[in-house]
Amino acid sequence: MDDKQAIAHIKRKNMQGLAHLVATYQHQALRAADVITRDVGLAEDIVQGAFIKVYKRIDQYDTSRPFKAWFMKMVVNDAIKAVTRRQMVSLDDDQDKIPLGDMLPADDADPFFIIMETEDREIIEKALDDLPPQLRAVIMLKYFLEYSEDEISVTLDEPRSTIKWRLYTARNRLRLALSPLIYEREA
Amino acid sequence: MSDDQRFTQWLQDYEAERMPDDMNLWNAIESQIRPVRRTTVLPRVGWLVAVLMIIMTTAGVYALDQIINNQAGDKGMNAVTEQGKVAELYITNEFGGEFDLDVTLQTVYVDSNRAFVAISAAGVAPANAPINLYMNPHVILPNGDELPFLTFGGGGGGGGGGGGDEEITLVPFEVSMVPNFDASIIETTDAILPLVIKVELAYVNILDAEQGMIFLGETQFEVEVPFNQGVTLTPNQSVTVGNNELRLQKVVIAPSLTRLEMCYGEPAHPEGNVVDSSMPWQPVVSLSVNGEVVLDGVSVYLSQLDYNPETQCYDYNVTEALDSYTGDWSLSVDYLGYQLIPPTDELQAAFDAAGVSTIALPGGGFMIDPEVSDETSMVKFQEASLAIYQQWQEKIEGAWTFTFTVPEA
Repeated sequence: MDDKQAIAHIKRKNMQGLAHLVATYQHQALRAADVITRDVGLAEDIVQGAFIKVYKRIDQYDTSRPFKAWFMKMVVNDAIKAVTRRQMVSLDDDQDKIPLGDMLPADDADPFFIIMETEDREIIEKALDDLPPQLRAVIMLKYFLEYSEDEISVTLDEPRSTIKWRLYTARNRLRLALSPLIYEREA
Repeated sequence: MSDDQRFTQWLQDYEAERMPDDMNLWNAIESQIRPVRRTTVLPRVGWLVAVLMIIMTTAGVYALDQIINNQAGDKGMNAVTEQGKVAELYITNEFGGEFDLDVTLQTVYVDSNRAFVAISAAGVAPANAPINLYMNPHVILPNGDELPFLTFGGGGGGGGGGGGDEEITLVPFEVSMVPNFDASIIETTDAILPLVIKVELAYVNILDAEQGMIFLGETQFEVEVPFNQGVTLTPNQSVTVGNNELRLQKVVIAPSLTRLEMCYGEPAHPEGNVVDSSMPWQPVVSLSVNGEVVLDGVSVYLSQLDYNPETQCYDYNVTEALDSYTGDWSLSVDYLGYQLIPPTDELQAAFDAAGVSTIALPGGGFMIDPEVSDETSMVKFQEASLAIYQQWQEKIEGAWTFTFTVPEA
């Protein structure tokens, strides 16, 4: 069974179709939601709810588009909303609080390289935790799902320029959060 | 490998550790959806509908229009309902059993041409073992004769009942149906008619449908309901158009349905067409009363039991409320139609294109898959069938016009 056949089954209220989609996409969706929420339980709730929405709202799905893109868009946006509601974090507020540019380490000290080198998982997790959900979302879409900037733009319903800015900001935030490791390595 | 690629790899490994492959949401998702689906079980896809679908695709000739009429609504049934002629009984029999079933006879209507009954059943079933409940009703006269099904008109009601609370292990459900019966065999002048309504009950375990239909038992109601007498006329007129003579022998006008007894020799079919010699041509009729158009090009429906190849007379049913039209009737057969049976591959392609799951029947024909047979699927099934069937029709243009007078009651 492929995705199109699965969708056809769901439209006939046959749960075999949904079972196929769950088996195919649940792990990627769970991990994507977890990157954004940083909460395994919340990620499970979000993905579970997204699949139920697929079953109940399948008539809203445009069959000319790939199912995965439609579904992951739902998961990502639900995850952002859930974390935003829970943490009451505002991206704009955060921007006001942290003057990014002046505090950044050198550009050649790439945080992702440091992540690969270090054993200090706690610091990396804290770096991800400290990102606002909107920035974790672009990081997840770019580096976990390997979406292009255009695809991220469509998924988040934001202009490409906003996506570029968020990616730039997210990388810089990670640099900032990981600066102790960076300085340690340079020393 | 670039730093970006290495970060991608790290992030994917990291998430795989947090969310291992053995995590599975299916049971949680299924438990939230299953009860909801099961409570909207398939009231129309009982034995009656299954029979109807099989007729349509194997015999083909009349059932298509019957199904379309069913979809469009039954004006005669609606009229007698609005006129308050339907007996509202709402008698509940506690059937019990493993699903704690209550069966309710809601309403009954009987006239000289047809009867219909509204029946519902409510019960509970385990959330982890959902079922589809089926009802097979019988209407039995005091002399023991049973009214045959009419495969047109009426319609089923919707399901209903409980929600999807995971804490509840038994989930309520309700199904209902409004089947039609041929009442022409009733011979009485009494205003009140005693009847026995027997309802057989069966179910299919959705998660183990291979078990097939499991019979639960039956319950019955003994009732007395008003009998709505019709008016019988015998025009016995013949009209010839081209080489074809049609005779309108008898007309029975009852509140919910009018029956026309028409007789004619079967016109020949174009060479090369494969026809079922046991099936007659079908009239499409129009009616004016006192110069006013009442019906314009409607199909009339042959009851399953009315075909008489020896006399070449047929009882056709008009599912309209015509009993209030008295005076000068001008009844025309606009044309005779004959529905050829479309090739199996065309039907299959049409169902596939419509996204309707069907079961091919041994010996030909299709039946909608009961496992996925919700209302949307049935509409698609009908629409797909209609499109193909319209391409496979023969026609003999008329019109054959009969005039007679219907007296005031």
